[in-house]
Amino acid sequence: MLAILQLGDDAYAPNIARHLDATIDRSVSRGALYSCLNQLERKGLLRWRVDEPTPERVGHARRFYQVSARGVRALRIARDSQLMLWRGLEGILGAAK
Amino acid sequence: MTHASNPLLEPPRWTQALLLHALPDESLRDAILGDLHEEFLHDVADVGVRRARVRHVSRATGIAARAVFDSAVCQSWVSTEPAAEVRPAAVSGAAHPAFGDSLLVVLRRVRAIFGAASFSILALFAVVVGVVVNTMLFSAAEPRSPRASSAAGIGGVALLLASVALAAIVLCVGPRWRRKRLRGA
Repeated sequence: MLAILQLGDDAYAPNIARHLDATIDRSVSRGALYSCLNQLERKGLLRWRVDEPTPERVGHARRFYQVSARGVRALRIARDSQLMLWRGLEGILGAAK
Repeated sequence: MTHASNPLLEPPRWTQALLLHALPDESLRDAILGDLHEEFLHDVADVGVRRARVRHVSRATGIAARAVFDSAVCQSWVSTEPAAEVRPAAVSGAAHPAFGDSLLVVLRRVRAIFGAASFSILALFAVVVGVVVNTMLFSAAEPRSPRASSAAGIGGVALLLASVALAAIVLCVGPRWRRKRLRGA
């Protein structure tokens, strides 16, 4: 969901996978990626729209994802929870890069 | 040179057939097929045709396996409604779009009812009721009065035939519709 927010209007599955690969150096299998997107979509955390099919895609539409308002709320809650847990651990883990 | 002019620059077709069977949702399947084709073309430019085909097969089989597993476990891989449709709407044969849409909804719901297991149970129940009512009508009729007996008999037989016909339609046609619907046909 963070990758989708960062990609903005260009968030479709191959781009999301490339973005994750480039930013956190993690290769995501396509099965896991589509499964995850589908589950987030079913939970109402993501929304999608389709674009015009291009010749490169042999007539298949491109599905762009965007984080819904509910998804943004869920991300805020998750961030706040994580920040609470990270607090006070700089002595052990060092400062964040 | 475009990919269409050279068959070597196309991904293996059996992967497309595999995904057609593995992904019941037409919209999601369309997007995934497009994504895979686009990635295949990028891979061809980056690493060559042979490795691109290997990667494509790996991706397609991974998606199919995950979709089948997820569908069996939690009935997922079915899309919600899109946020906004950018693609131009398909030309509809219906004279009135609202009427066409509502007719489509009714047809889908009827198909869903026919495909449901509960409807098969209902049909079997109807057969049982038909047999019971038929027996009751025959027993209630006066055996010494041939006219009453024959009227009750005709009514009972008609009811029984209707029940059997309904059950046959549901058992034969209903599951087939359901299979077609799951395949996205």
